[in-house]
Formats: sequence, structure tokens, C-alpha cells
Amino acid sequence: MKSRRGLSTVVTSTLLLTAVAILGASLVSWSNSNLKSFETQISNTTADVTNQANENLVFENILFCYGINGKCPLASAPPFTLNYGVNITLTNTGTVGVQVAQIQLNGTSWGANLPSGAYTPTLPATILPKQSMTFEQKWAWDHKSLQTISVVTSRGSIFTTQAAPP
Amino acid sequence: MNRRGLSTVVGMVFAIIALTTTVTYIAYSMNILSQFDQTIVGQSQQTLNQAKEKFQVTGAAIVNNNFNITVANTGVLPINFTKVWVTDTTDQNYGTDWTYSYTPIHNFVAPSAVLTNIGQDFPHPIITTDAFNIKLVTSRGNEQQFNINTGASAPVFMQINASPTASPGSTIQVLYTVMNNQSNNNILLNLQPRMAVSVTGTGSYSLVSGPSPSSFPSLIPGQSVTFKWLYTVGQNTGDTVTFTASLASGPTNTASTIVTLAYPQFASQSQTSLQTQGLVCCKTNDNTMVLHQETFDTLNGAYQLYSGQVDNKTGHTINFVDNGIIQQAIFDTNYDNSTAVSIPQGNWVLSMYYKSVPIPSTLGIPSPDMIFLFNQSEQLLDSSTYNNQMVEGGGSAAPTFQSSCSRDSSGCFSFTGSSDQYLSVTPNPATTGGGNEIGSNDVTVTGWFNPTTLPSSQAVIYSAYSSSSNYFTVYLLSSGQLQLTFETPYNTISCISSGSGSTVKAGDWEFFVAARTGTDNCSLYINGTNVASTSNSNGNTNKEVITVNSIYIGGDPDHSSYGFNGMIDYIMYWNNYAINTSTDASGLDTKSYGPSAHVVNIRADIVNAKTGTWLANVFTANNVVLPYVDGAASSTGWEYKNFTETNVFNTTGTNGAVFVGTADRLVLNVTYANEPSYAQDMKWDIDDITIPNNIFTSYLTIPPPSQPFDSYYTYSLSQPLTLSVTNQGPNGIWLVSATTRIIFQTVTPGIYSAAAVAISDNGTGGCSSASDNIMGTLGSGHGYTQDSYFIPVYGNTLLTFTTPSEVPYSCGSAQTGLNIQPGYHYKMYINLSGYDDQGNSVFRTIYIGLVKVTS
Repeated sequence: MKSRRGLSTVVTSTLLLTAVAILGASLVSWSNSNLKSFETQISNTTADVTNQANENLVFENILFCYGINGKCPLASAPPFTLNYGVNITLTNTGTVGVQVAQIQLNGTSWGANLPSGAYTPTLPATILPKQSMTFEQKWAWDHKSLQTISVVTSRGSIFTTQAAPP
Repeated sequence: MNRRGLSTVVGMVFAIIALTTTVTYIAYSMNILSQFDQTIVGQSQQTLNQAKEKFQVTGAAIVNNNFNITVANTGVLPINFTKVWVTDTTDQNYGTDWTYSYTPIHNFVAPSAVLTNIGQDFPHPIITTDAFNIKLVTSRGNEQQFNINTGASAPVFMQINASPTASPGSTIQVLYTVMNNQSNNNILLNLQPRMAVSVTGTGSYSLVSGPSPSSFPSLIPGQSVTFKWLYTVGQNTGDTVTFTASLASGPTNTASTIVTLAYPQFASQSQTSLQTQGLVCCKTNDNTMVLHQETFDTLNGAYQLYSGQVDNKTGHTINFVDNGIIQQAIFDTNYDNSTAVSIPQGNWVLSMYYKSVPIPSTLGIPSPDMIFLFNQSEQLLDSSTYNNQMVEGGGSAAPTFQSSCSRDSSGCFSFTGSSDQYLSVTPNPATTGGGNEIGSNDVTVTGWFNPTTLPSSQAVIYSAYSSSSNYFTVYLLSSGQLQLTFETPYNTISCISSGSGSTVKAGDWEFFVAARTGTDNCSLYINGTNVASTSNSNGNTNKEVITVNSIYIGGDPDHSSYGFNGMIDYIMYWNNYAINTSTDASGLDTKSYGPSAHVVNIRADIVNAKTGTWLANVFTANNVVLPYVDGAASSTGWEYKNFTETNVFNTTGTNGAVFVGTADRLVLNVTYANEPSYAQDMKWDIDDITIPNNIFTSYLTIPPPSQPFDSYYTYSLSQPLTLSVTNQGPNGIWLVSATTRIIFQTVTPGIYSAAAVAISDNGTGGCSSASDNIMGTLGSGHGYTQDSYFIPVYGNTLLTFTTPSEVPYSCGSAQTGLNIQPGYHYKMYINLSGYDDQGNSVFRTIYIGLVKVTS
């Protein structure tokens, strides 16, 4: 008669264990998944920040050239009629490679409104550590006027300098 | 009950899983943070190093047609220069002419070190006169840039300094300072000072020396340089001399100053001087040992050197070779064994004032009547006294002077064989041929030549013509032989070299002697060897006259194809002497007129004062090489006063302390070294008071001694103390008795200093009692008969002083102090005090030197 009073203890225990196991496994699985996601995110973010911090570009030389007798090779190359140009030599003094994504001259992007061949090299361009690279494009600079030059890397670093043509 | 434990196990499992996950996550986060920290630290270190990296460009010049940059590392980190950018900015209107970058070979400089020769390996040719912008880039990304010749014409700070007034006939110093204050960080290169001088009235001037330095290689921003000239101005009061200095290239501004010739307006500046017992007083220093001609009280009658004043005699010259005998110049200190002199460690500087003799006196050859040595900037200057004028002919094809091309590294003239390229000599006076006539005497012409190529037919080395086309010529022939030919109205004589040594080779320096001897005979020598002699055979026994009115060297305008190709040097001519022996010819051949013309040994020793026994060496400088000093550099001939400062030779050595004991002397000895055969003779000037502003013509400067060596002057208490004072103007002067004194400063512990008062003037005036003029007998109740003594301009007076006493006394005062002590040394001064005839005060103190007081 006593065994008829309800579910048996075994059944009850089984149900309880099953529920706990399912809920526990789900919880562990969910939390692991979340943690993995967070870890990946943190890892990527950290790598980006670290690499960006290690980026270091130096404007080694800025040459304002005038396209006569090969003094400014791109500017003198036909069929372009603009004789003025600028050569920017950048040196990577950091410990990671730098990909130059964009160069801005007084706020105008490198190569804007210019046909292919009026600037070189094509962006983005990668500068390895301890290496230099020269960027050249036709550009109508004014004598003795202040020019602002900005370089944006693929990691988002911005390096800016100012120079004045002769 | 056992079933209850199962859920606990399950819970534990989940708890462990949760805990492990949490710990792992925290550890991972910390690791990530650590990596980020490392990155930040590394980046900060790089930034910090970049800030610590400091260097300064300390010099830049163009050497060997390339850049030569000097950089000093002023930071604490080593620097590696990874790139040098060079931009030719000459074409400023269009940006740049070109830009190149390269990695220098010399690129590492340690902290506090200096890196030189940066840019010497720049691989692109440059035009040295162009403007450049140079940028140095380091491995850490730092950079510095500067300009060379950029905007070089922009003005810089210039200042010229000279005394606004100068006494007529005096020598003044003109200083010209240039400071690079250009705002474009430009380095000025090769600064060459120029001085333009103009005078008013009938004034004149002459350059004594300068500029010194003659040029300056580079001037970085903020740096300055001072050039110095010495000029002797004219004699006319009121004239002005304007000095305007500028740079030969670069900044175009100038600086000028005006000097007015006038006697000093204030008596305190007047040229009061003072004479006593053979001394002309002037200020001296205890560490200056003047070289004298007097030999009183010296060893073996040698010359004397002491720390005092030069005498009042005329100058004296030592001929190092006199009548063929090499002389020694020995100078002794005048020392009397009373006190030891200690000279600390330091520099001993011997200043020699000398000139070179044109012809070695050992050869017995008289001086030439025309000498063109070509070894100074006055390369066309006749070094004889005849002042023959030489010019470069041929216009644009004129021969070129080269500063160090000759056999002995002095200057010479270079010819290319061009048709109208020659040196032309105008005899002075031209009407008589000056010292270059071919009269009724023997004549000789000599010279050195170095053919680049032998001529196709013949080339003129020396030719002289008369208006009637008679001539005297020395030719180099295509065979390498020499030919001397002269034509007189009656004879034509030729000597053509033959036999051993008769031909010359291209590229070798050769010496020729061509002479007319006897009755129109000729002789020819090459390198001291007689290679031709020809006797006149037409029976004419006269030395025919060729009235020379034109002389050419290296070419001949009338024979355009006879141009000489090569170098010619040292043309000399005698109008009354024939060099006709191999000894004389080779003797001339082997002499040097260049930077190594003289070789001497210089030494100083300590010797026993009485016996001369050698005790110790102070310094020895053997085989000291001295350059040739051409007396013709003076416009007045062989005058010392116009020699340039480079005539003064300084030899400096660092020596230990020197002790000259009470029985010792200091001896300076200068002799010819065992010189090479080509060394030249010289004369050394000492004791010449005629040289303006250079009374110490030759002297030895020693480290400050414990006390000076004795002067000549000895004061005897048995004799009146007298000094002769000369007033060189411009105003008459009264010297006041009561305030004109002689001071004896004691140098002996326990002995008092003493002073004496002037009491009479040339035996007049003095005290009211005649007995008061006797030393040491002044009594009370007596006074001066006159307040002061007048000395007119250029006049002098003999002042008599009281006996020097610890408490000076004069007329009317009793002696209360102790008189000066015999047997001791004192430093002696005279203090002149009074007023001049324009009411100005006169006050001057003159140091006489160390004197000994005797009884």
C-alpha cells in the first residue's frame, strides 16, 4: 500500500538527475561558447591595438619637384601637363609592417582626380620594418605655402606632418 | 540516504567546470594584458630613445669635390646614420635641381664622439659652387638638415675694429669679425676676407701682414671668426684711412671703419718713454726673455738674454752664415748667483724674427739684379732691389701661377706652349735696362724649368731684346738640348749643350746657367754641369752692349711658335757677373727657396754660471724647418718692418719644471742643423727697436718664473739715481717733482720696498739747499726750487731722485725710514706724474725689470 502513494523514489531521482544534467550541460555549453567568443574578440582587439601601437612611420623626406629635365619624373611624363609634383619618402621605424592605406595632401586623397600613372605606387602599399618607400604624385603646390600631409595606415594610425615648398 | 550523494557529485562536477573556466579566463586576460603592457613599454622605450638621440652638425665643407660633414654625438645613445639626403637647391624658383639619397659608409658615432668625413662617399658628382640642402637621418627616425651656400649672399653680422685714432707712422691692428647669423641654417663655406683701404689727403698706408687667417673653411650657424691685419699708416696728421672689409664670396654686406691720424689727445696716452743706461723703457713681462746684442757679463762674450727691455741702439742682425762660416747664436741670462729661479712646467715659446738671404753666402756669388722667385702671393715681385716689373702676357692664354708646383714645393708658373703665352719683364728703368742691361760686363741668367713636352722645334725659356733687334736668348730644343745665343752689333755667339748631361727630359726639373763671359764668349750649364762653352772667334775684344728694352720668359710675342710647354721657376739675372764654375752652378741648383729653406736646431740648457759646464737640458728642438722669407715682400726692399707675421717662427714644447740654481745660468742656443745641402741661409733679427709695435723682435717666452731673471740695470748707492725721460709728444709735459717717483719692490722676505722722489731736472731745480741734492743728506727746512720739470715734445730730461727709502723723503723732509738695502734685488718701476700743456693729467707707470742694488 505504501508504494502506491506516488512516483517512486527511483523515478523521481532519475527525473531529477536528468533535469540537472540537461540544464547543467546546457549552461556549461552556453558559457563556454560565450567565453570562446569573448576570448576571440579580446584576442583580435588586443592584436589590433598592439600592432597599431607598434606602427611608427617617419616622414624621412618630402621633395617638392618641378617637372623639367627629369627633376620630377612623373610630372614630366606625357601626356600629363601638370609639371609640379611631390615625392614623399616614408620610413618604417616600427617593429611591424605598415600598410599605407591612404595619403592626404591638404585633405585631398592621394591620386584623387588623377589618371592612373600620375601617382605611384598604387595604394595600399606595404612598408616592411626598417624599410623606406617613396610615394610620388603630380600635385600643384604653391611656392612657400604650407602643405599638410597625412598618411593613414590600414590599422587606422594617422601620421601627419607639414612642409613648405621652396 | 545513498541516493542523496549522487546529486552532490553532479553539483561538484559542474562547480569544478565553472571554476576552471573562470580561472582560465582570468589567466588568459592577464596574459593579454601583459602582452599589451610589453608593447606599450617597448613603444615608450623607442620614443624615449628617439628623444635621447641628439647630435649636432659641427662642420661642413667641400673637400676633394665632395661633401665633408662633421657631426658630434651630443646625446647618450650611439647613433647610426641610415640616410643622407642631398638636394641641389641652386634653382630656387623651380624647387630643386636634383635630390639624391644614399647610405653613408661612415655612419656610426658613439656618444660624445665625433664622426667626420660624412659625405665623402656621396656617389653623385656635384658642382661645388652650387647651393645644397643636406639632411642627415638616423635609424631612430631623427633628422637634421642644413644648407650650404644657400642664400649665401644674405647679409651676416660683420664688425670691423680698429683704433679710431692712430699716431702718424704707427702700425695699427684691424680686426674683422664675421658671425654666421643667417636664418636659414646655412653653413658658409671657404670664407676669404678682403680688405679695401682708402685714404684721404696725401695719406698712405702699407700692409704689414694679414689677413690672418687667410681664409676659414666653414662657419656653422652661430659661429664667428676674426681675421686680423696689420697696417702701417702714413705720416700726415689729419688724414683718414678707411678700412672696408668684405668676403670674397657669399654674404655681400661689408663693414668699415675710419682711422684718423692724430697724435693722442690725452697725455696719459702720449708716447712718454724713458731711457737709462742704455735702456729704452717699455712695458715688459717677467716671463719674456728678450734677446739682446750686448754681451756684458755673459759667458764667453756670447749674446745675452734677459727679462727686461731692449737697448737704445740700432738693430742687430745675426748672420747664421758669415763669410762662409756657420755661426752659433748663444744667449745667456745675466745672472749673478744671488737667488735661484724656479720655472714651472709649461710652454717655452721662441719667437724668431728672420729673413732669408737670396743667394747662399757660402757660394760667394753676388746677389742677382733681378730675382723672380714665384714663391709668394706676390708672385710677380722682383725680389732684388731693382723693382723690375713683370706682367703676364697672352691675355686669356696667360701662364698660370701655381702655389706648390716647383721642385721645392713653392710656387711656379705653368705654360701650355700657347702661341702668345709668356711672362713679360719691363726693366726698371726701361731706358737703361735697370739691372737687366747687357752692358760691358759679364752677365748671367739662371732658372729652373720642367718641360711637360719637348718642343717641336724650339721653345723660349728666356729672351731679351734691344730696340735694334739684338738679343740674348735661351732656348730649349726639340732634341732636349739647350741653346744660348746672343747677338751684339758685332758678334753672334751660340752655345748648344752637348756631351754628358746635355739634354733634358720632359717631366724633370732642370736648372740652367747661361752666361756671357769675357769678350763675348758664352758658357752653358745644366744642373751644375758645364755642357757648352764657346769663344768669340771674330777678333773683337770688346764686350758689346745690348740695350735691353724687353724681356720674355716662357714665350715670345715675336715668335709665336716658340711657346714653352711646362713649368718655369726662379729666374735670376746678373748684369755684372758670370757664373762660370760648376761649383757655383751646382750650388745654386741645389738650394731651396720653398717651405723647407732653413733647418736649425734650437735648445735651452742650464749651465754653471762661471764655468759654463753643462748641467741640464730644458728643451731641444732639432731639425726645425723654416720657410723661405722673401725680403722683397717689403715695398721698401730688405726692410724688416714690413715682414709679415709669418716671419715669426714659434716652436712650442711642453716641459717639466726648470730650476736655475744660484750658481747657474739659462742658455739658449740656435744653430744650423746638419742641414740638407739644399737648405738656404738666413739672417736672424734681434734687438731692433725700429720695428713698430714689435720691440721684442725675437724673444723667448717662458712659464711665469718664481722671480724674473736679472735685467742689465744695476743701481749703485754710490751714484745718484738718475733716469732719462723722453717725451714723444704730442704735448709738452711737466713732471711734478713730488709725485714722480721710482719704486723698488722687494722680492726678498724681510726686506722692505722703497721709493724715491724726483728732485732735480738735468741738474737744475732741485732742493733749495745745494746739499739736499746729495743723496741721503736732505735736511729739514729746505724746499723745492721748482714745482715741476718741463719736457718739450721730443725733448728729454735727466731726472735725479732721492735715495730710495722705506719712507720716501724729499726736499725739506728729514729721512726717517730705512734706505734701500745693497746686495738685494728689487723690481723697479718708475711712476711719472704731472700735467701737459693742454691741462691734461699725465700718469704712467713703467716696469723696468729686476735690478740689483749695490753699495
